[in-house]
Amino acid sequence: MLARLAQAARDADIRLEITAKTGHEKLYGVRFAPNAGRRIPALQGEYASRHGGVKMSAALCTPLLGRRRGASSSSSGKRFYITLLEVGMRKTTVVVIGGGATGTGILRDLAMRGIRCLLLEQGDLASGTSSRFHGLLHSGARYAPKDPEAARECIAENAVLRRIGGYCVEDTEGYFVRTRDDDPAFEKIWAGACVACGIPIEHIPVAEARRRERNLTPDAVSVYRVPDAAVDGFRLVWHNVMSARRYGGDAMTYSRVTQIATSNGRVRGVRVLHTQTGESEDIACDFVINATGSWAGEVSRLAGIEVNVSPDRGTLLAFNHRFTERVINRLHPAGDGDIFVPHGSITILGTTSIPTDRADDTIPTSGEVLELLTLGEVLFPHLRAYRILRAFAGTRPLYSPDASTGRSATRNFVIIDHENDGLSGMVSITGGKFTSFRLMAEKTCDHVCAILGVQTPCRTAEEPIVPTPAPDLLARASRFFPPAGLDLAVARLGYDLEEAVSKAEQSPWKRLLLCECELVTLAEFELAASRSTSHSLGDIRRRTRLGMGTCQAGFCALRATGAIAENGFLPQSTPQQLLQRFLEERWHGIRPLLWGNQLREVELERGIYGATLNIDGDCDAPGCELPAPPVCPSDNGPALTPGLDALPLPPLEAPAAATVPTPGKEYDCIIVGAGFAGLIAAAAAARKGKSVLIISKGAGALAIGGGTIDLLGYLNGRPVQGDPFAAIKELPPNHPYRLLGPEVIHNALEFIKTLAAEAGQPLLEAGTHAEGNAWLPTAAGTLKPVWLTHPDMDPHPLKAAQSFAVLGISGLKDFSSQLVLAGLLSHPAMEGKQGLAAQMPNPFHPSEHGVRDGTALDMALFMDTPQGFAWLSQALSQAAGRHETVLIPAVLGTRVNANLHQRLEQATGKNILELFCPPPSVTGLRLRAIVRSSFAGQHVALVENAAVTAALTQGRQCIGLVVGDTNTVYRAKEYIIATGGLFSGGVTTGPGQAREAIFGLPVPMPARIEEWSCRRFFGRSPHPFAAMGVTVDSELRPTAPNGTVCYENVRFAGRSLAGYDFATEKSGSGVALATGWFAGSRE
Amino acid sequence: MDAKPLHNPDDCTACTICMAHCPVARVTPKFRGPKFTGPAYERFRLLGFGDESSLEYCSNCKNCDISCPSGVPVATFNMLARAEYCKRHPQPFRDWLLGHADLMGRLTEYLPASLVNFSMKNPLSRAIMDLMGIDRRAPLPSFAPLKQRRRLFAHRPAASKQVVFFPGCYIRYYEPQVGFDVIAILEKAGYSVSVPESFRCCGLPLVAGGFATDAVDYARANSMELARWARKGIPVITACPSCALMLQKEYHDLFPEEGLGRYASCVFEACSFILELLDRGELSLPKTSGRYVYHAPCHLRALGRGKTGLDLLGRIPGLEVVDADAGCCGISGSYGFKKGKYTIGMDVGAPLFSALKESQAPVGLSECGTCRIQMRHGSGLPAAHPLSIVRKALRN
Repeated sequence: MLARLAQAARDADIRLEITAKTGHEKLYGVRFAPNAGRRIPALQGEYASRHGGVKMSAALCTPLLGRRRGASSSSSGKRFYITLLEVGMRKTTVVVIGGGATGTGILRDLAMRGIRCLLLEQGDLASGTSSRFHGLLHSGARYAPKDPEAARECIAENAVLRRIGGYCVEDTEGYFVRTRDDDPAFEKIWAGACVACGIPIEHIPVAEARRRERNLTPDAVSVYRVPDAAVDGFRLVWHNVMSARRYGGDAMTYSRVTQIATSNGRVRGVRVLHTQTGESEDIACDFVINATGSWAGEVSRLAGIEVNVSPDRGTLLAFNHRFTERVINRLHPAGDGDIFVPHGSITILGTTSIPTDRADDTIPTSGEVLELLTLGEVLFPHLRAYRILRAFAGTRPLYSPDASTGRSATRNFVIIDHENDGLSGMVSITGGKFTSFRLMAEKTCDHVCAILGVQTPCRTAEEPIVPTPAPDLLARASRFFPPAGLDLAVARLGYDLEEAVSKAEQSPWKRLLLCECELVTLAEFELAASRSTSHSLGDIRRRTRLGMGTCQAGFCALRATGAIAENGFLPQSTPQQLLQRFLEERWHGIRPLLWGNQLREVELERGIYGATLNIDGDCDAPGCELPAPPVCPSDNGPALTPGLDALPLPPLEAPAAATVPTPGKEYDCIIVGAGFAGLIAAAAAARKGKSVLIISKGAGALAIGGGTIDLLGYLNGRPVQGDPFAAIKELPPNHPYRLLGPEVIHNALEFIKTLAAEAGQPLLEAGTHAEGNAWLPTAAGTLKPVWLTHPDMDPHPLKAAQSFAVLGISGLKDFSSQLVLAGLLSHPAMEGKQGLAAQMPNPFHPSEHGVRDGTALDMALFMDTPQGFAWLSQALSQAAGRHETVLIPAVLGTRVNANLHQRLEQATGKNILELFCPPPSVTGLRLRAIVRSSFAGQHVALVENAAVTAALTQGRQCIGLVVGDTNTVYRAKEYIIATGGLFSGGVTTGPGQAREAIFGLPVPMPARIEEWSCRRFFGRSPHPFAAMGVTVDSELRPTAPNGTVCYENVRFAGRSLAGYDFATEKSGSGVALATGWFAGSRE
Repeated sequence: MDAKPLHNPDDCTACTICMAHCPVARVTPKFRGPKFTGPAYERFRLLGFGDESSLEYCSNCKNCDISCPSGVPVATFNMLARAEYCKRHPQPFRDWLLGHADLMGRLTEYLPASLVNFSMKNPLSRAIMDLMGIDRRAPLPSFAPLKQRRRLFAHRPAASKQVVFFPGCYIRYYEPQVGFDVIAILEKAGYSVSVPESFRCCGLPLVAGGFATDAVDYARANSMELARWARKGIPVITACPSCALMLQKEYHDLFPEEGLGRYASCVFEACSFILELLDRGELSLPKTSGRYVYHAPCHLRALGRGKTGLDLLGRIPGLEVVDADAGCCGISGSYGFKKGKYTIGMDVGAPLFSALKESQAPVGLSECGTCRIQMRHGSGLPAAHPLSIVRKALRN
């Protein structure tokens, strides 16, 4: 068949590459590029074996593929991907179902004993319970009093795993802490039981424990040291599979067993549905091991057998940092929320225990989150002050022939040979704990080997899963990974380390950190993405920890998508779809804890992906449909317990007289906040001849925004057709635009245009009343509706052009030309256009460039210099070829009034468009510079690094603002509050509560946290929290719920206003401009 | 005592605003940048991975703290991490020398200043210092004559109102004249000013050099002294923004367990104190004339009281003062003296140098001593403390 393909390709004058052929999967990797003159980067290794990606025109497909077993295609531009599978039934000896710790442990064990085996997993490896637990390698001390057998197993396996799984186990040791509230009698029982089970425990002084664990409760009265440890579930499962592969075993993911074929009371094989392609496949085998944990009942039913597993749901919280160095257990009869496990860069608190009827009942609820916080607070009193990254839930497979559930059910495992049910060749293994997975595997394999007549003994307890890398490999690796990143990468990569290091050695730009929060290099990412087991960013995340740190994929998701586009990985979906799905996947775990810092992070993410990159603009486009969201548990959760004390509320009364210094100068106008709204208000007030004081905490968010003026792009989730001014009257009545009216908005736009013109950097009115918004291309390959732009971003040349070039800069990880091109070409508005994606070489040599990855801002700073400009003119002309219209990342200098764009167009003879890159934003900083430059010579004073913490009021007048840190009161005739809403702390939130930060104005929100947001992160309907803010009258003065004005000389501007959603409407900078200008220019 | 979770990286959203405003990151890729070395790396330091060598490029100028919308003490993270790093990777003698300027100053109290200055500034010494890591182009300050330095601590006439002046190393060893100007203004407002010799260096150079243990010692000693005055309700005034930052904020932020922050409320930055005197009518400023260009030191901005020197000069009728508003000068204490950092410092300061020159003003003003060194070095303009101008106005 390959020969036929090759011949057909030659006939059609198409270049064909046969890139790989792997023995085991019997898949052929074939690829050819259309004769467009440019070769798509060659596929390599395993990647090709999975996809067998053949890229060709639709017309060519049919004649070429005679004996294909299934053709799945997804369109990306004009390419088609066809998967070729060799005909013929796959055969193996043992099929292991279930890709968790037990299943992969069995796979490794069987493979090491020389048995042919294949593991089938319905989702990704470790996507079930093996990654949804607290990551505790039990010492057994927790089970000793009630379940001594489980405890003995634990302490034995604990020692084994430390020996064989060094890269998965972090030897943290553990404490058992009895607090004042816990029963002292239990301590004796517990200690006795531990000793009886052979668990080494050591009583240590409380003072010493608290010295070592500074955040531990002062209520601790007794502390024991135990040999607990942390274990990484993802990693262990992966390493098992890597090791198994070395011995000839194999694993297939996204392969759901739909039938277990039997005849004459014997297992003959299984039918598998490959969920990514929709194909079914029959696999012949002699034996089936059902190692599916909570799913064991469902799988055994395929063979008509009942296995009585009752899934038991446990919810856990992952915290942003490591506030404990050791595993901390509460010394009391095992209960909910009493174990803290430090895990890499985070801390995990677990768990709850609720019987459920579904193995995939894994959507956490806010009720569970709050319950866990309440329980966890006993051990860590400041728990609520720590940021929770996400909540997650898993289901324990509790085997209960006697139907006992929850904590009373045994943690022991059971091997059921279905011979007793009249079927030979199948066993189920279920129950048990992660800690004893290897023992479970050993026992299961012993049983199976006896049946198969294999004598080879188990060696899994002796041989390390992943051997220690050679010192010279480590030395090589240390040159390319950041210090902390090296150890992490070595542990994550296992057998893949060598390949990742070679990648980094050969291509310097692959040393870039794709995920800065968890220190994942591009080399490591590409390696994971190229594996046959990766189908989504989520799969790559589980291997690399991409997107699991502080920003929760806020920054790395776009880079990751770019890297995928550059390499042509994961061709089943478009990069934009991958990106959307990845962000949606993360959303489930964030929704139930949507307050405080986590909500601020969400606002940032919505700002980047929604407001600036318009990822959600196309959320109903074909191909973006998401799988139906998992059903939320019907349980409504316990009542919301935490009170207002969880909120950092400002004192409403005046500070004690003694601490208030003599009031200083009285200004005409004080503006709180130096973001876009605040700066505009200041500029407007200064123009009116007022003396202005800006008090700011932080430099404002212009450095992370797009730098365009977005008026109103979407209404009720649909693009605004025609004049956005006309659409304003359809907005809800409390929308800031409705309150101000079109004339104010118009005047505000004129104002910023004037400022820009005065600064020597005029803004372009890209949108028109007749045609509506202009649609600007973005670095995510989307089009985004805007009104005013920097002239450098003028989209009209692109509209007119028949062909265009997208040019990236190698090493600029925030901009992928392939991603932009693929996205733009798939857009209906770009129908019929042709494009080229290419890279300009980076002006800096990687080693010369030093240690920080360059951003668009770094490039822009280089462009400020004559060398930079000369470099760009030349590189751009070379890379753009014959294309007249060229799209580049926004790097054309940081200075206003430098005319770089114009000069570059003259120097190269091309139309050049700048595309916004993720923060730090060059275009946003230019907008900031424009407004700030207008302050020169005006009465504008600036107090930086000062947070206004309270207001002094007298009746309906504000008489002063207090900066708590410096104990200073600032006075003015009028006050403008432009504190930036949720992100910048203008509105503070706690669980189920929100409040304006300075005046303590109420911000009504539902008490149930799930009601703050929608199930989809990016959907048509706006999240309720998005419109949360201060309600105002048409003069922007704050109003009480009954509509009366609270303070007559106070106005609010920008993001702290209620009634609009900047991210879905694409109205953020427009509202900031209109409200800021209006508030500042009142008489 | 219950330790509050003061330093944790949880407020950081990784938004990169600090990266956009970091003066050092803007001119060199060798610094990974504040977000990275600060809160992002803190999560890994808590895991026991701490060896981030690019920390040495942080100049502790505090623009990250100033620009952060989330209130993350980024520079504090960096300084604490540097101290830990230096425990495992001891600093060169150069850093010890620059960090312990206070000891150096004390040593020179037994030698004529002219001799010390000659022995430090002759080409041979500069060549040796260059080898040690102090860039030969660096504009090292000259020690003031000993007599002048001693006069700072002279006994002064009593008055009904009393303040204490904390001179800080720069005024004490290099520009006592600024101290005399401050004292004169305060005396004019009816205060008796005492300058205790027992104050030591505020400790900021030690913190910046990674000598946290020494810094704690200094902080404790100074706090003992501060406590003495705080108990009597006597304000302590410093004319150095960096000293003010250290005494008002950093003792608490860097060493929360020491409880040294409790005397912060009795420490005042001189310009803001004098602004209050004006507000209370204890002092009035006569009309005068002159043109100046003003540069706000980063540490003054970090104090959270605005550009107090500029505000104060704005109260003098007839003065024409332009705000350079051009960011960090690049010197950051002794950062810009160091080999490998000198060029970074000069690159950071370049926008300021052009703003100073373009202003056409004959004299530059800044509250910070080392900022003034850098201003003179980078722009060729003379530079003075704003309070020297205030005193000049009062003399007229």
